[in-house]
Amino acid sequence: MNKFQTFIRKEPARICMLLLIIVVECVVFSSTGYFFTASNIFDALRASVEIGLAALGMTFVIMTTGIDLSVGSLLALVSVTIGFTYQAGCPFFLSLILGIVVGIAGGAFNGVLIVYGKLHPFVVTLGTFSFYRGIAYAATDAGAVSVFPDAYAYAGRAYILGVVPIQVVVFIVLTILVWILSKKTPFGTYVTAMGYNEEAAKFSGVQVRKFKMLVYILIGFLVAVAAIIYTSRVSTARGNAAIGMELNVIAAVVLGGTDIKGGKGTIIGTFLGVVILAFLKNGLAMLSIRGDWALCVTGVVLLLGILLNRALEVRQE
Amino acid sequence: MEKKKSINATVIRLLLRPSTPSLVFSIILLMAFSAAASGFMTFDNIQAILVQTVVIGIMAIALNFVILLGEIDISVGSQLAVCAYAFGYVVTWTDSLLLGLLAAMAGGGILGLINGLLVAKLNLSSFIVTLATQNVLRGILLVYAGGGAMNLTAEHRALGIGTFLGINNSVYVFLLVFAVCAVLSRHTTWGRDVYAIGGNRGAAGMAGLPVASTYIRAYMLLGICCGLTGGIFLCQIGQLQAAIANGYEMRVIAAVAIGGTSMAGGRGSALSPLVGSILIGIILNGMSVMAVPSTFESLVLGAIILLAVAVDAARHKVVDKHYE
Amino acid sequence: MRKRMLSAVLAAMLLVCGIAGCTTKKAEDTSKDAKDGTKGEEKVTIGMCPKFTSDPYMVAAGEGAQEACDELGYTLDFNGPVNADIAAQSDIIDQWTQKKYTAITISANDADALSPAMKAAMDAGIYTSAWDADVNADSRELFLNQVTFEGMGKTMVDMMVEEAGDSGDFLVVTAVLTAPNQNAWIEEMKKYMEANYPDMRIADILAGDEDLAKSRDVTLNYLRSHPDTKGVFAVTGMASPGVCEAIEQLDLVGTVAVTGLGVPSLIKDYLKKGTIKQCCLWSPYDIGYGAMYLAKTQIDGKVDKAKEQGYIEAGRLGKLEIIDKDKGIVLLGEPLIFTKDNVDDYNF
Repeated sequence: MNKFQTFIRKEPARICMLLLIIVVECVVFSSTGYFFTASNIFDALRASVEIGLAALGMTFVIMTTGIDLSVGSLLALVSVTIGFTYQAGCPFFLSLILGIVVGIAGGAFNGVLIVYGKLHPFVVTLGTFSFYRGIAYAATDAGAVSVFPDAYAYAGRAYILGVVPIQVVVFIVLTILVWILSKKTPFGTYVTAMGYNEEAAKFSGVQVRKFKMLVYILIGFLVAVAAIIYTSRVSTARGNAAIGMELNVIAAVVLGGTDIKGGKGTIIGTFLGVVILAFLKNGLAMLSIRGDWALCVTGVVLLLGILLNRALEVRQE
Repeated sequence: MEKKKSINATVIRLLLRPSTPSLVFSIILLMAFSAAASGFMTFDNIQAILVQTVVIGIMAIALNFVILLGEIDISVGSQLAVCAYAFGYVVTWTDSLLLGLLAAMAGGGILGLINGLLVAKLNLSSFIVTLATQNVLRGILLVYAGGGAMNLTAEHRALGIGTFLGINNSVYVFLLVFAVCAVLSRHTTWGRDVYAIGGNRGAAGMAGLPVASTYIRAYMLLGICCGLTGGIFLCQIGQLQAAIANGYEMRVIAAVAIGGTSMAGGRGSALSPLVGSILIGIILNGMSVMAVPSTFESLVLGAIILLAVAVDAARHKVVDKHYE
Repeated sequence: MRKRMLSAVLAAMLLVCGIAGCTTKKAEDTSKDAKDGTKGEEKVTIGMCPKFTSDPYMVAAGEGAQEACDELGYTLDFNGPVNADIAAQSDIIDQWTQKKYTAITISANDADALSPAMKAAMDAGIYTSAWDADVNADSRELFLNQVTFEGMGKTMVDMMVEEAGDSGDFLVVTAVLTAPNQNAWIEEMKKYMEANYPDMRIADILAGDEDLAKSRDVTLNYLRSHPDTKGVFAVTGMASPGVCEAIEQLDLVGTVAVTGLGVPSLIKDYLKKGTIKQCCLWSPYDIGYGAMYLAKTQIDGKVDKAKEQGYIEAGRLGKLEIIDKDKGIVLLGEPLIFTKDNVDDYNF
């Protein structure tokens, strides 16, 4: 039994879905002929990089039976931090650093309330969902900054080797780093253990609180990176960025096989979930399907996805 | 001496109920707003607060049961919209308010049934299931009703703008729904099962409680209430567009959470969503009465939610210390 | 046994997809080369991106555009986000750039944020223009403005003065706080008031968020506590029905004036009842129709000539004036004013 077979055996649901999507796109698009160009595939991914980065962090959050509804609002907050400090005269590099600090602080704030305050993650992040966006609007008086250093705006649209967008490279690199974090460090092992049974983990000596905090800080950091990418992509920092992003992020994570009740979850699964949603969105647009129907289709795919995941899991057991 | 002790104990028990912090906070806000703005503490404005809270409030009271079970429903906004359209069509077609309401509530019940079956029978995560149904419903609605608006003539709108004894009709419906749900939660087997299952699903299942049918009934009740509020919504506003009630789910969930129901399930009373939704109504009303710049709206709402949750946790800590 | 079969099936599917993918790629590579060379005879596809598709106004614009495309023999792809979503609009523009549409035109949710995507389209050789809500001038060649911002501000203030006189405090109910058109109109209203009606004052601006219920609620609550308000400006067609509702429910019809934007299908009943006497808009059919002719001017390479002439030929709309040659702004015309007498003539 070689590694490939083991891999397939472990992630049959996700691979199934990915192939299903690809098959459908192949068949349907052979008439329009647009899908299978490298540039289209990369552009499809580029549109979902922000969701993907947040999803990487969200995987750990959901694995520890938590949830984070504030990712979109935190992204907006980081974005306006970058833009408005830059406009106020900060050197750009410092603005980026400040943005990352705000992202980590936002994640930590959630973490403190959830881990030390022992408040329920859903309500805490529902509160910060409004609160962070509120700060973003109020502190900037609903204004915007759209003047950025040329290099930054350029990076938003740049390609490596003429084909691969910079954002996709960043996403893949971070995915690999987070994957290493999850598989090869104690962090990953403990987080999984905590997800399955927090009490048992605590009794085994795992510093549950410290690692849970790290989970929320990590997602705050990843959201900050996503904010940097988003702001360069649209060359604008405004409080209305990334409205509605959180639901897409959670959908990607769950589609990837992470159990929302906690415990089971893999970074690879999340990556595939992000890719599936990215291709779906791209495919629907390529087919010129109106946004209204696309909403339906996305909902149905989501449903089919979890049904498939559930069916294959049961069979595995 | 004994009597005094027991009165004290009762008072403390009352103070420690889940909905108390929100109640206290509501009263504080009422006093603050009426001091700050002259037009606030009038009969008309207070009634306006209630009227504006009805739609979110009824849905919150019904969602409370689902959350008590430890589940969630994000599709309430889309359910509301679909049922409102159903109500509008039937009323315009048959000229009967009653038939319209029945159609809307039946439609909502079916939508709730679908959600319930998917969650209970197929054992899928309620978050994702209701996220999916939210998208599907909204998409279908947009396709079929996206290009225009539906208007309801004044004579059909008694439910929303008519009054009885000087109080808006929809407020009576709101209180009626609350009363019914309070009875359901305390005096029916189903109600007690909801608490038991929410507290510990595995144990409840092993004890022989009908988990699946309890779930389904909770979702159906929510669906029926969405249908009812759909009708009220159209009667209040007079016009529908396909994108209405977008984002309402977050407000409804916030109302339940602020009111003191625990998101983990098993803890909370029927009073919680009532108080929570009225508190939000007071805040929103107060802000527009005082013409607070709209830039601050999210900030205030978010801060209130965080505050409410923190206070509730503190309350729970005290309860744990003294009563367990 | 089952699992081994599963992995075998999956591997086979992977192989099939790979082969199909490669062939598809080769086929379209050759056809794409052919396309680039012969744009003149090639099928013209125009991508039209509204702010959001759940608005009857936007839907009507799409229908007007379809009418023009049928006349011109173009293919129209009308698609936008379901809600006012900036990132989604940006992604759609990117995807159309991928598909190498002939021209792309947009009504932007955010002028700054949509500019990079439009600029990238422009750099890829696609003709870019905007309608209804502009992007930055360096990312599109032409912009079809339905009315000038000053024209809009003036019209709304004049309508209000007719009804409520020229002094007092007024409330403005707007869309979302960041809506560029609305903010520009409000600025112009203030300027016009200062210059011509110094006793008029905009006391407060509240956001209705393009939501009927919210617009009604904020108006209701505000008017209750500010009984001296002389009138309410509803600066978006999605808010005016809500504002009218509020005024009716407070029994203030006739005491507090309402005017502003109004979409006929939404505001019809209130005009007839007299809650609102007049409101204005422009024909979304016309703006959609006109946007296509703007694209045609670009595709035919006649933009410079049009700027010299000072106008663009726009089919049944006749000549559309270019009001700003440097920034490429084309004017649709004067605002349409709706009253109870003429509102039935329009079906959007």
